[in-house]
Amino acid sequence: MGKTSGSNQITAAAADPFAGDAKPLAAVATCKKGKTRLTVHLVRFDNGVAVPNETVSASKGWWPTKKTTAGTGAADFGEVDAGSYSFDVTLSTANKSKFKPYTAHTASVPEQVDFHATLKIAPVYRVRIVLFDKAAKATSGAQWTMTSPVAASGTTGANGLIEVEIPWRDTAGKLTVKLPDTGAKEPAPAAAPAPNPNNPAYPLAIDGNHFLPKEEKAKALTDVTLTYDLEHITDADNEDGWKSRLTNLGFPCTNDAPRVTRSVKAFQRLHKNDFAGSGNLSDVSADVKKLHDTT
Amino acid sequence: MLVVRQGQLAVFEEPLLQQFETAMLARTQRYFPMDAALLGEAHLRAAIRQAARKAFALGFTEQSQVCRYFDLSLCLGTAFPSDPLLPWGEACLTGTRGESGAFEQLFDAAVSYIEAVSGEDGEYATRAIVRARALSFAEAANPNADHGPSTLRILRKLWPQKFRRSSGDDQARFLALAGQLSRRDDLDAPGPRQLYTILMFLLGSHFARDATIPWAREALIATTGASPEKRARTLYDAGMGFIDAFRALLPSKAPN
Repeated sequence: MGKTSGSNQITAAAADPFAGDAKPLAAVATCKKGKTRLTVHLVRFDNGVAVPNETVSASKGWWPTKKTTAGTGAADFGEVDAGSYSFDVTLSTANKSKFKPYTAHTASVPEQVDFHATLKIAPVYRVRIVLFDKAAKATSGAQWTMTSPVAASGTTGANGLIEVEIPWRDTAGKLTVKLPDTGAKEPAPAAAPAPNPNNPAYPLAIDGNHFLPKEEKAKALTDVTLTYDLEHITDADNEDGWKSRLTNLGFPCTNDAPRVTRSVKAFQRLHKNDFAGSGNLSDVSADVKKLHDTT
Repeated sequence: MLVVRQGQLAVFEEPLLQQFETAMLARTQRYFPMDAALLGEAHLRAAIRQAARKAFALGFTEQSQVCRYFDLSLCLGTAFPSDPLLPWGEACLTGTRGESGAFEQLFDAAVSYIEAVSGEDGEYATRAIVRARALSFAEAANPNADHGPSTLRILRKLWPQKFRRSSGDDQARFLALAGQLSRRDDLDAPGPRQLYTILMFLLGSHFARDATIPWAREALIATTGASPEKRARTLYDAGMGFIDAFRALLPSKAPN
C-alpha cells in the first residue's frame, strides 16, 4: 500500500505473461441443471436503475431479442448455447431521445453456467431553458452562448427554447443570453395637468414622469449571464415530480404547503389565465408536466 | 458497458479466486515487493479479492484485466475510476469511445498519469509520503481549517505534481466528496475533516474502505463511537506508523 509505485513498475508488471492471459475468470458459475442459461439486465449507467420494456438482443449467429421486464429490467433468454455473444440494445422511440445509442459488444458465455450480463446505457443530459417575457410569451431571436461545461451557441426559435447536451457529471455551467431589442417601450405615464400658479391645488397632482428611472436605468435588459448549478429532479409522475418541475418553471415549491399553494395559484394565473385558481397541485400537474417536459 | 453480475463472482471466489490470489501473491512480491511487505499475506489476499470484485463490477473479467487492475489499485486506490481527482478514469468507462477497448484505454491513461504524478520510479510519490511525515497533528488536523484554500495549499505543498494535474473543478468535486465521506466516517469537524482530506489526497479518495490501506479501516473501527478529534488522532497515529514502516523499507538513499 505504499502508493509509491512508478510507471516503470506498472509497465514491468504488465509485461508479465500472467498479466497477458486473456482467459475469462467469470466462466465458473455452474448452472444447477448442467445447462447454460443467459439473463441480460439493462440499467442506467449513472445510477444503476433498471430500464424496463426495452429490447435487448444476444446474438450468436442468429438474433434472438427479448423485452426487459418492469421492475428488474431483466430479460431471460433461457437455455442457450455456450459461445461468444454480441449484446445490443434497440431503444424504443420514447427512450431514443433520453439515452445515447448503445454500442454493441461481445462477451463469452461459457458452458454450463447461469450467465448474467448487465448492459449499461448512458442517459443524455440536457440543459433546457425557455425564455419568456412577463406575459409568458416565448422570446424568439435571443442569441445565446454557453461557455461551460461545453461551448455552444445559437438563437432561440418561436418556442424560446435553449437546449444543449452536456456531460452527465458537469452540472455547473455558464450561459450568456442577448435578448432581442424589440424597440417596444411602455407608454409614458400621463402628464399631470399644468398647475394654476394662482391657485395651486392641494394635494398636488401626481405626475408620472417624476417617477421615471434615470436614462441609464431605463434601458431595456438585453444581456443576461446565467451561472447555474443543476440538480437532478424527480422524474416521476407524482407530487415530488410535479413540485420539482414547478420549481424549475419559476414557481418555487418547498415542503411548506402554503408556499406550494401560492406557487400553484401563480402558475394558474400566468399560464391558465385563471385568477381564481384552486392552488391544488393535482389540478395543474398535467399542464406542468407538459410545459416542463415537452416545451 | 457490460458488467458481469454477482452471480458469477460468488462462484468465481471458490476455487478460482484462491488460485488467482495465490498466483497474484507471488506476482506482487516480485513486482511490488514493498507493498507486499507492508500488507502481509492476509491483507494482500483481501486487497486482491477487493480489486477483483471491483474489476468484475466494471465489466473487466479477463485475467489480464483483473490482474492489471489490481496493479493500478496498489498505486491509485481500489476505487480509482470514481476518484474525482482522476477524472480520466470515469471518462474511459463512460462508453463514449467504444467499449471493447475500455480497459486498454483505462490502463494507458493510468500509466501516463502515474508517470507524470508519481514518477517513473515513484520518486514524486515517495517524496510526498515523506513530506507528510513532517506534518504535525496540529497542522494536519488544524481546528481552524477552512476546507478550502488553506487545505488546498497543504495538498499542493505535499504533492505538487499531483495537485497540478487536477483542475479547479476536480478540486471542488474532491473537496465536496471529502466533506461527504468525512461525515460518513464520523470525522465531521474542521480539523478531522482536513486530516481526512489530506489522506484522501495521498492515498486515494476512497482510502477508508480500501483493502490496500488496512490500517485506516482498522483505526476507524477501533474508535467507533469516539469523538471526531479522537478518531482523527488515532487515524493520524496509524498513518504515521505506516509511514515509518514504509521509510524503514526504503533504500538508504531515499529521496527527501
